[in-house]
Amino acid sequence: MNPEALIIEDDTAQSQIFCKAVEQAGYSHRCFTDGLQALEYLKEHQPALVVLDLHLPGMSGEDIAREIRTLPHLTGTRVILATADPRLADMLQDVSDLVLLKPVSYTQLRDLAARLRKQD
Amino acid sequence: MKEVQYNEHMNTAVSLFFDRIFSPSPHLTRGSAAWYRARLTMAIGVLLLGFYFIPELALHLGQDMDAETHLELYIILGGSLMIMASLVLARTRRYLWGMWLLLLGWTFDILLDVLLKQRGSMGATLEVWLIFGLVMAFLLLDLRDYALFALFQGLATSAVLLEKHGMVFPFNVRMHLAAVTFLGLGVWLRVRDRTEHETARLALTTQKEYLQHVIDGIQAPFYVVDVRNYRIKLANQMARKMGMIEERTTCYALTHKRTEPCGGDEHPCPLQHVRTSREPYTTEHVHFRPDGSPYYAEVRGYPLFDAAGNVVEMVEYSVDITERKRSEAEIRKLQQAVEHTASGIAITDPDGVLEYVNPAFERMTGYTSQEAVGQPTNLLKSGVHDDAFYQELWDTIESGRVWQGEMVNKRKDGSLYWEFQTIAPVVENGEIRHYVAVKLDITRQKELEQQLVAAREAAEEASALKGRLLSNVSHDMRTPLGGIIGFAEMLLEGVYGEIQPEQQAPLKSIIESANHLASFISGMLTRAELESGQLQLKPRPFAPQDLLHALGAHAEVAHRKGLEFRTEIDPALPETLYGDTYWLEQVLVNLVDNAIKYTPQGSIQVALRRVDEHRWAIEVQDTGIGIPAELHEHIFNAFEQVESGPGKRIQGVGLGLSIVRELTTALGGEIDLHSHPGQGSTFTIVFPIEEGTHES
Repeated sequence: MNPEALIIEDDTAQSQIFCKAVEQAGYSHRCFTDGLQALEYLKEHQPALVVLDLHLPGMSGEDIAREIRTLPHLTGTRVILATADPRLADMLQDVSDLVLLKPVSYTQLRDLAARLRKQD
Repeated sequence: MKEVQYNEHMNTAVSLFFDRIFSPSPHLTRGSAAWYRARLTMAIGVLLLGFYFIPELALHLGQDMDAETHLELYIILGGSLMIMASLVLARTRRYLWGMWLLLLGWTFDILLDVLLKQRGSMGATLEVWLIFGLVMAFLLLDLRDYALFALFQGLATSAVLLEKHGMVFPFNVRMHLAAVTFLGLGVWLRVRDRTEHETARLALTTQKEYLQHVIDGIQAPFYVVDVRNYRIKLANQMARKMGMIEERTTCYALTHKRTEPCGGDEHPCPLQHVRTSREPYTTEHVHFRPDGSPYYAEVRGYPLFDAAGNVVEMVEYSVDITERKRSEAEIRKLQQAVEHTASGIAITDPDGVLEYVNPAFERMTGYTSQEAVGQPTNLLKSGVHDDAFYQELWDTIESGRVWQGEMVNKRKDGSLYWEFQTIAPVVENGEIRHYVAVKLDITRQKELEQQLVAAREAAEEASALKGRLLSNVSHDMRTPLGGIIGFAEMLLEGVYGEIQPEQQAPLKSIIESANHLASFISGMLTRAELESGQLQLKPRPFAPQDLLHALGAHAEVAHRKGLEFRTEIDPALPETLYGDTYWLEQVLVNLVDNAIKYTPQGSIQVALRRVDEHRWAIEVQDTGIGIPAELHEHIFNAFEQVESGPGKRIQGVGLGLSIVRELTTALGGEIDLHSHPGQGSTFTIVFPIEEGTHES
């Protein structure tokens, strides 16, 4: 069974691209547009990868990333943060495994996700 | 006192005797040959009258009047008159006539006597001697002199009495006695006169010396000037020190080294003032010291009057006031400085009551000096500041420290103004005597300051607004760009099914254009941050190779374009460098973006090098189209582009390089460009190696 990847992104087009990219990289995927709902799901499940946008309704991507770092069952979960603010990208290095500056390239995300999967 | 009075009478009498009887004509110069001759004439005349004519006259008057006696009487009377006339004449200008008359009178009697009677006796009688004695006593009025005179007189009288009683004295004995009497008297008077004269002279000398000593004690030039000719008649030591004083030295020659008397408004002559006003006079002159150096002197002149009340002399003394003038000038200078300074100055007593305010204070507050002086300083209190403010002020200055600060005060017309004040205590002998406040009206500055603050706040707000706007625009543009790039890539990758080969190029164009737009947005944001002056640097240590990680995507783009892409790290570089990696990456990325864009074929090399001990550099070299030398400066300006040929522009160059240069400056580095058209370009950015970096 393929490892699970969680896509948290409120922009549907972006969400669609992210889902396709992780799918191509060999993940099963689940998509959320609301931060709080995603967090509820995360408390019960153990995805291998979380790709999340910084600007989200309900709860910010940064807070979710921090929350993930505090949940014991998610220690093995990889986090990729996507942001449109270059300055923030620099500061979010420590709460995530990777920070991608928007516009995020489909091929770039696909290749990165594939590389992460191989590492695991 | 009685003794003194007596001596005075005596002196008067002696002078009467000598002056009346023996004093020759006052027109004759004392001590001259004529004066002696006249005096001799008088002496002989008096002697003849006293010893011969008057006794003889008396003798004849006492005899029976026969023809011979009558004749003798007339002869003697005639001689007497002649001699008396000679005495009178000797006291006048005609003293020579007096002498001739004396000679005539003397010889007249003797000649007649010899010729007529052939005898030369002198029939003196007791009465004659008594009368003569009385005359002398009246003239002399001196008991001692009279006693001596009486002694000789007594001897002479005894001789006459003894002769009457039969004792025969030869004529010459009587004559001798009478002569000795007068001779003795003369000698006695002479000696006494001399002694007295000597005593008086001595007394006078002593007194003179004493006075000289007194005036020499005056430590300022002191002298007496004759009002008729300005000549110095008496001078003290200090005056003599000013210059040689001779008999004819004048006051102006001594003190001014002038040849003319003082005059005019500059140097008014004290003597002229004293002479006309008959009052003391004080003025200021420039005098000269013995070495010729000038000094300021205060000159005081006092009139001296003679018995008739005429001003005959002037006592003058001068005090050196150079030091006083100097300190006066110093005080005047300070006073003028305080009066004319543009700052308001107020002096108060220790209780804060105004003692002095200058004109600037008057202008600042609207209160005149008369209105302000005597009032407490809270005259100006505005009520804007609380009690604690004033308490702190007073605590400061009362403890002897200087208070400095800004406060709002109230003018006389009730309007408020800002002043910057410095209040300093004036301490004398450890006690605060006054406070001096220097005030500057800073109302205008305050207004400007407030305007500036408001303007800056507005500008900052506008800038922040622009930043936020750009940030939002950036965010809102990046997200749809993600959609464009993402779907285009998916199409290109065949996610949605195989595409025709001729469809690949347009899809790549879409991706490239979208990427270009994304980097333009980044540039806009960086520029906004630079322009707002809020570029925040967060320097930290970093490994040189970390800087090159940002170029992963660029390497890929370069390869796709068919370019060789090389990176190089100088082994001489320190293990860690120090700087803001985010902005350093932006610089590097912009330079590499540019290089890829303008290099159609060849290679791009990025190197991190050590320049020298204190500097390292980022070097980006390409084999691109190059830049003409005359445009090297222009390419760093925002929104300027290099025209690669007539009418053809290469887009997007301006913003990237202008940001690179500004960022470089902000990061403390310097950018350098080596490029020639067709020979590629090399951009070198040199940074200092900061302290805290680690050497490998």
